[in-house]
Amino acid sequence: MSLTAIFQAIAGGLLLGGVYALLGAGLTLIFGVMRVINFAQAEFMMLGMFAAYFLSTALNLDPLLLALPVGIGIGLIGLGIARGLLERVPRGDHNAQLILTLGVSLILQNLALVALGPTPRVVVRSYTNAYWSPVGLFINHARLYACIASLFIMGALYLFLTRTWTGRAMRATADDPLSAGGVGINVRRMHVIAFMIGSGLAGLAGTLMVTFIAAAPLIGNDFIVIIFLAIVLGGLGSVAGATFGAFVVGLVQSLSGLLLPLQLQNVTLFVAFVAILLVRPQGLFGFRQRV
Amino acid sequence: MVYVNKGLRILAAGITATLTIWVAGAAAQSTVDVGLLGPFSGPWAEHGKLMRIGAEMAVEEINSQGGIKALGGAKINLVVADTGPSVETATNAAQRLLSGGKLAAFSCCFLSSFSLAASEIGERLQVPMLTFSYSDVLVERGYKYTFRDSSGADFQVRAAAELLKREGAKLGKIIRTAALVGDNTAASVAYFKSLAEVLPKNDMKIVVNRVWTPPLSDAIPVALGIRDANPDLVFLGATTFDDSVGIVRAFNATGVKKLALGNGAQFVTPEFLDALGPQQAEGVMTTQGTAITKDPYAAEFLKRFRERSNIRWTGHDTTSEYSHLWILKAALEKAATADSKKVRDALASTHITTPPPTAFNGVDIQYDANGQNPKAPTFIVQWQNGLPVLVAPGEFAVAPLKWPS
Repeated sequence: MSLTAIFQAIAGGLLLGGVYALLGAGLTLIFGVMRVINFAQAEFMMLGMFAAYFLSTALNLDPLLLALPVGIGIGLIGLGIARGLLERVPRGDHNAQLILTLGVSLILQNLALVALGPTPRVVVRSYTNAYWSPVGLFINHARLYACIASLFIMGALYLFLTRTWTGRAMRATADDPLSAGGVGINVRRMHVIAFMIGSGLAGLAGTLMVTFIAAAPLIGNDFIVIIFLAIVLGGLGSVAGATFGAFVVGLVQSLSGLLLPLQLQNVTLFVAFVAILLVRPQGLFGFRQRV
Repeated sequence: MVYVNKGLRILAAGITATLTIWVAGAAAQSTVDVGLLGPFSGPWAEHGKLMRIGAEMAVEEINSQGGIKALGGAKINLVVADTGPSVETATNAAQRLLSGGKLAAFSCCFLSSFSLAASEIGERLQVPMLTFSYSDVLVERGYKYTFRDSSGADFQVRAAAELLKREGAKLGKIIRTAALVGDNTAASVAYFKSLAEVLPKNDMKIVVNRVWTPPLSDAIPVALGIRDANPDLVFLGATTFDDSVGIVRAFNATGVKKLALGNGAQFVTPEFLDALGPQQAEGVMTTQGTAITKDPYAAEFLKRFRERSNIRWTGHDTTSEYSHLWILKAALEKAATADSKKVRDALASTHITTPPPTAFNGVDIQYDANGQNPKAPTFIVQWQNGLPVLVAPGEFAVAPLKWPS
């Protein structure tokens, strides 16, 4: 095995992890604040991909420029779902919430299938098929841009959670909703905002990905298990943990292909997952603060 | 007087009854119901859409040319039914379509699993089925009502290696080594299993065998493995859109310029070209059961297809259905009845030697005892300048095989 192959695998793993991180951050934010496992997270990503496809085709705009407006749009859909559906389920009834998000996921998938058809939709830009080749490595421009944009967004999310009143209130709600309510924080409002930001992040991730992965109604199925794995690995409810977990998942997936048959890529991932949870059942970052 | 009136009434009733039967008979002769069962919704709806265009084009042409002459110019009425997305929905659709007892025959279904389910119902209800699905089980069970005029999966795999070797030799190229690259879905596993048997018999050594569980997270390491092994020919067994595009994109990025043969229609879809562009798709090939051959009738058909659909090219979904309807027309002319059992007998003894069907099948249409056309060849189409064109077998090819350089 050459050194170039190892570096190529590391580069590939980091690029993958960058995208997983954005999806995982949204999911873990929702869980941390609301204690809701959102099975529809990957479908928000799918909606983001389709929105980027249609807008960039109609307006001839780069999907990277559309990321923020599309993310906000998907966030507003999330807001509607949180207020119209999730808030109506008795608080603390996790089974009902779980089934509800699963239902939303299936409805979105099937609506997309009926309305848009099964044809994969691709957004091809000048950088889609372009590669940067430093020291014999092959880095796809579209994946690189998505990863860089993802890191910027993660930074902005960190600043929002640590430097703004709303962000701090969300963290307080995640830590102890009763006490947060006691000091005047509108817990219900924080739940809705968390769901809106979480789903918006997924839509944003979809926009970044559509230049190298085709938009299709069932595309979410390829990602949802991997994202859950990343956030459990990092520690449920921890944004920093989800980010780290996402990069671990990307690297394990990529590096395992060097040593083992590619068919065992996901098996290796789950073995690593079980091994880490045996040592740290709370996940890598599942301590102190949750958000 | 009373007796005369009674006699007249009986006579009038008799005439009325005779006229009614005659009129009803004439009405029955005015149309012949032929079924088209395909995936018009769900994940394979694009293929269903292309199938339907082919069937409708044939029906319009047959009817405008005077319909079924042996049935007094009866028009073909295409009865369309949607298989939906699963074997269960396909089975229900086939049951509903065939249980009415009015169909002379039907064509079905794109996916082998759907065709297998529908063929069982067709066999039970004695309605002949024409199919272009790849599974060889369809014509290995001794069914009397299943007919396939194109080649099946196993034959295609076996023929493809030989064909490429032959076409390569014409260009002074010898294929000595091959790589198997693809996912571990049932279709690809069967494909690679057949290749593992066939390639050594064709003096081709397998130098790389990379199989993944879809989706492939990063295609670059796979492409680098191919680049290092430097095989003469690559067999691509990626079944998902993103993996099919991803692997060809990675080949281009890493400078892997090899003869690459895919295992399905996913390598010749408009979306495949949209994602890669003509330059990156150039040279990628796939196998098909029917195709636009060099027969002038096929070229004319493609022109009509483009005008009608605004789609630049079509694969075997359209050409197979178009062919099926013309085969059924010939069988109905021979049977001179719309009775499904007699249409089956006519199909079993049919022998078509002229276009339209031969323009897409390449050979005469004839069926063996199992309902398979034993002469059906394997066609290889290759992307050339943004269009998939037939390159092998040479005798039917529209253009010569292009060897990547």
